[in-house]
Amino acid sequence: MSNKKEPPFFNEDNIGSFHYKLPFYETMELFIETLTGTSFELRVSPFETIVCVKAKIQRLEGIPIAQQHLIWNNTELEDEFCLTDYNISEGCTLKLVLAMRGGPINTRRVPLDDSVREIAEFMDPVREELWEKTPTNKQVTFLVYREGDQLNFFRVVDRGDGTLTPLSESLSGGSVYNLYAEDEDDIEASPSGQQIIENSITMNKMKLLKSKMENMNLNKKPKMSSKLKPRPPNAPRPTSISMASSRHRLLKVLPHIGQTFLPPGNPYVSESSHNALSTLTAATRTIPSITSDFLKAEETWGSPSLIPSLSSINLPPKVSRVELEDASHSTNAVLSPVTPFPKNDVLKKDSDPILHQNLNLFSSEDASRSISESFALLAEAGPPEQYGELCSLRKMKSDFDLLEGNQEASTIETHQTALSKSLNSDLMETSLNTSEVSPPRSKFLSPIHFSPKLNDATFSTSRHPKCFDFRSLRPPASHSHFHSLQLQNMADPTTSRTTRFRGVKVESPGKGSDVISKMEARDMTELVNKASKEPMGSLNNFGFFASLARSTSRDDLNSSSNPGRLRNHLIAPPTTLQEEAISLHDSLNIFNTPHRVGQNVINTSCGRGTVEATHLFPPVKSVRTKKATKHCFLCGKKTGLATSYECRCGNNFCATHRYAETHSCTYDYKTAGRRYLQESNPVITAPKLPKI
Amino acid sequence: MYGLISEKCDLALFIAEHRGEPSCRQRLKGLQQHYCAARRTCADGSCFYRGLGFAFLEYLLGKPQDLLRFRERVTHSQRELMAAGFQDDVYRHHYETFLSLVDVAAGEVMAESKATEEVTASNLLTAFNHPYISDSAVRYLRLVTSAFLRSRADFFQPFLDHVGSMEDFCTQNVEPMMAVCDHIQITAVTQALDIPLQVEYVDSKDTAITQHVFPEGSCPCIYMLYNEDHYTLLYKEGAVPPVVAAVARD
Repeated sequence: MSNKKEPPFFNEDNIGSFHYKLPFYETMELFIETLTGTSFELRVSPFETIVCVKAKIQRLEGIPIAQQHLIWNNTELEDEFCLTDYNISEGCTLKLVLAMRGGPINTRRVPLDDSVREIAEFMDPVREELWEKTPTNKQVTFLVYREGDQLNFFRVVDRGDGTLTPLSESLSGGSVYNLYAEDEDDIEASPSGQQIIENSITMNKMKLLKSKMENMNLNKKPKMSSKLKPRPPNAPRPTSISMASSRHRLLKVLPHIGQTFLPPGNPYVSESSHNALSTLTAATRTIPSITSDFLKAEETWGSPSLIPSLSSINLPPKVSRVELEDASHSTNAVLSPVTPFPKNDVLKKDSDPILHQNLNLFSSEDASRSISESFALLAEAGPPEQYGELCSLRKMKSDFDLLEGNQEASTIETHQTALSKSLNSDLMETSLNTSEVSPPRSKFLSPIHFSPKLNDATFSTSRHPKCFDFRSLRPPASHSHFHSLQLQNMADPTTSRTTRFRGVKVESPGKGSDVISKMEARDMTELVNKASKEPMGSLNNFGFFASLARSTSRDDLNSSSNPGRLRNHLIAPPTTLQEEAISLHDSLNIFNTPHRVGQNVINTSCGRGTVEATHLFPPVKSVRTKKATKHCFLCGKKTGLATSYECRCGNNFCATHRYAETHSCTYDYKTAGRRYLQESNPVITAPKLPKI
Repeated sequence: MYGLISEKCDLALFIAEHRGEPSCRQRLKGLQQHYCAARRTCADGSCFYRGLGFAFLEYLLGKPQDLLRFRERVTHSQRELMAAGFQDDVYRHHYETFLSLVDVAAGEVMAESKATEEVTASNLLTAFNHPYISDSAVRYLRLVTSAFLRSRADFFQPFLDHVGSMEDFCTQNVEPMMAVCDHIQITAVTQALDIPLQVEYVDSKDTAITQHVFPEGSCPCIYMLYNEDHYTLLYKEGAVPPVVAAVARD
């Protein structure tokens, strides 16, 4: 690396004069500094690739290209990129380091477990190909993921600064079942390393979700009742029994839905097409408004629910019963299907202040009034809205509401639409109602329905501690994400809700969780495609939700067909945004409006829709890994990965209760110890000596 | 028999037993023009440091003047370690271990009479194959490297291929026993202890063998082969001393 070497012909000494005549931006001087402290100049073009620069260095210094590492600003320069890509300009000093990494621990002898070996075998034929394109002496990460019998390989080269090279290749081992083959192709083609990262992230998340979903489904199944009573078109006061049955239905549906939502470990994110993204963005906008509405409704209801004991609730006894039943059902159902996104926490934080405000408002207004009164108010509000048959609908809805805690979410969505377009919202609601009960009635009912739903929701919250979370979450209506989170937490009523929430989450990602949004968008698009049969309502927002719920939208909405959903979403955003703002500002107003209540009803219908939709989707087999959350057996505290201690008695404990004496362990250490001692110290009896 | 640093073996044998591809073996044969023996080193992440420490002390056998100079260098490094901010109890033990190894090379362990060069060599080989002593010596070399880098962080920092302070780099990529060495570490340790080293770089491509000398411009006295991410000691003069071989076999 001495500078004394004769500069090659191309160095500036020989052709410098020529270069100097060129415009300034065409060539530039770079300084290459080595670890020995020596540096030399290099004349390059800004559009030269790094590998060209290395070739020049090789000619200058005799160091093979493969052994060179060029570092600038503590970033390793990749061969494929140009100097301009790194914003390297005139006079910059690049650092030259040799690739002499040596002495790694020999891993060749480490035995591979079966799964790894399987993959390794698969990789063997392509290894050459993989390594060929791999720059030497760089950290290369192979992403291998497996879905079903298909293995996907992606090669990512770490540049060292946290960014990854765009190179990726996926090799799939021929599975016929891969639904997402297209998406994978997209991934392969995708030029940005970020997408790859996102994919991996999303894949992990999806797996988590899947496992959680499955767990939830398992829990629910036993609770479901075989009876599925179709609701009578004109529902009198809902009886607890009918409610229960409807709930069961919903519950059944939910698990399926959850499955459908969960992709089989596919890299959806990367795959998401432009269309999906656009739809997502649109959806996100619309969703917030909906969520806000929903939140409002929930809040109104929630005020009674805030009271810890049901008896304390102001609601009329009938309502309370129904609610209680619903709540119990809903809680069961809710928990299983939905898995909260990691981003939920953030959302919650944001929403919290809002929620508090909302709660206060509700509590002030609602608390004074009995629930029955609130219902009346809702009913009153409905009629002015031009719904002639609101009253009848109300009854129906109230029944339904009890049944469908889950539906509330959908109703919320509808509320959003209503806010943007009161007429549309009504239609949507009606459509939802019809799907659940009887289509024609649903239209009329919409306003009334909302109130009962609200009641249900509140009831569920009051009963379960989880419900409180919901309320808190909902208030942040401004943040659609929050809603989704809340819903998930509540595990309310139905999977349909959860699905909706997801959709909401997707929308919210605008804040920064692009990946999630993408995934959600994908899910949504899938749903839409499947639901193509159903005509979606004119309401864009609703349509979006409907796509989630599918079934509901199909029945009632004649106006817009499925293909329109995406468009609707796109179109909807501005209105939804306005709605959101409104909802945020006037959570109280929203509560008052009957529409919101009606939305709840819609939710129920959505739940149905989801059930139907599930049929369309092939059941997804998810691998159950472990319980979603562990809690201390004694104090109930949530125990994380590092703080979970399993005792010999088989229970899980937190750090403070992990020892046998702190939780009065049921394990019989004494006998176990005796047995151990006996086994380890067998009595030795000397054989009898033969007599001489 | 010797897990960490093997006995000298014939280069032809070493190449024949090389696990690499035939093309790689073909290229390694180019080394036979200049070298005739090799020592394998254990691939535990410290092959370079261990090989460097052993090879240089082995080279210093029978060179009392150079040994003395190197010993002064080692004792001087104690101050650099202190200046780099290492606590005394962190490096003291490893420093003394390495110093005692220098003394072994000087043959001073044999109190009665100056040991022969062969016996000293076998003692050295035995010591470097003692897991505890050997790792301690490696630790010392790592600490010296780290101290050198820390004291010249301004110069070396731009050469890091990731954003971060030199302290982070040292604690993650120099001091741990598992940390592999790279150009920066090699530059630092050879400069810090003034060990002239030549690395024969045989990469997987079809390029010719390249030589890198550390510190630049010095006259190398120990030689290493860098191939497949591993460092192996090379020797110009060949045949294994029969006595050493015999002792080693015992």
